Amino acid sequence: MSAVTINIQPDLDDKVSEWRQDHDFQIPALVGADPDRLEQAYGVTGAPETFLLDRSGKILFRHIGFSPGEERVLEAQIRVLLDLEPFPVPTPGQAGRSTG
Amino acid sequence: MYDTTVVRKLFFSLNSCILACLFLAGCSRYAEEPSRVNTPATMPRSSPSQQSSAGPEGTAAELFDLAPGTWEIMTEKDRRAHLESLIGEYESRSPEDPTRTRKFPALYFALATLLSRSGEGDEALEILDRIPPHPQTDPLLHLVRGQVYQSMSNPAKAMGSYLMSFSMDTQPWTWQRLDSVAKQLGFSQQQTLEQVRRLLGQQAKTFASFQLATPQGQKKSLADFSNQAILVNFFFPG
Repeated sequence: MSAVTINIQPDLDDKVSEWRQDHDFQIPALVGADPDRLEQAYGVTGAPETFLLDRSGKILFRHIGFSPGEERVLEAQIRVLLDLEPFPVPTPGQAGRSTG
Repeated sequence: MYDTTVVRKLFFSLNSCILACLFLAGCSRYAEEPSRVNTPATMPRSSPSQQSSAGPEGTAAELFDLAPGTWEIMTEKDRRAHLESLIGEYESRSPEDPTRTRKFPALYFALATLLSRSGEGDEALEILDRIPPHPQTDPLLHLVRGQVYQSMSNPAKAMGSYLMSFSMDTQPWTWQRLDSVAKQLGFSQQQTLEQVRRLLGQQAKTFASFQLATPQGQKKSLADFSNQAILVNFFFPG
């Protein structure tokens, strides 16, 4: 699986490198996005927002927002949607726990 | 463009904690400024109690053009009349008027919730049907519709609405509601997930390609990240 993150605020493009370094952010980041194009093409008007795509570029899921612990939910959803393992997706109360 | 912050605040005002939680994740990203951005990628979404320094009374007043505390002492009938009046006033504005959309979905969600509470599910659904489609509010619309169907003791339609909502925005609380109603109908989690997969397959929207650049100026397109799966995240350095 590959990952990429796109800055949605052009006026902060020049801050991206520093921000990545400060946060030890390993995922490739891209800049130069046009906010109007983001809204028209992806319906994205805010961040964070995450899309999981298959090899052909089809959208497997879209997740709006993020809160601590939700990464476990996202991980489980990704595994399920990629047929890596069966459900259950953790419920929010379980979101912070390791799924082992 | 919708200001979804007011939609989120609405549900505090209506004391609907579950929906408030829902809107936290979906909408906390939106600043008051209606056209753009929100929360830094590293900043966790705030809890319901952190959402408004004004508190629920303040948000209700702000949302519904009332003096602070007025919403709380209004009867359901008065609330409904007030919302209908506001909706009428909003709908009389030109579609090009940027102020028209500011509280637009919030008012409809509020009125539908009131109608649903008073057992007028069909009327609530009619109100929801009047909300124009929009990628940011559609998942919420389907979720609220699912709740209305549940209040009408129609778990099958509730499940359909929750499925739609979950397929548009994979929020854990939507999954909880979906799974709960699916179990009532005798579906296992595996079966429910299969339905989600099927729905996602039917929608099968293709993510538009892009031509952007790294901060160092190297051109990159979606094809450069081709893999079995690609996670595309939108953020901003905050």
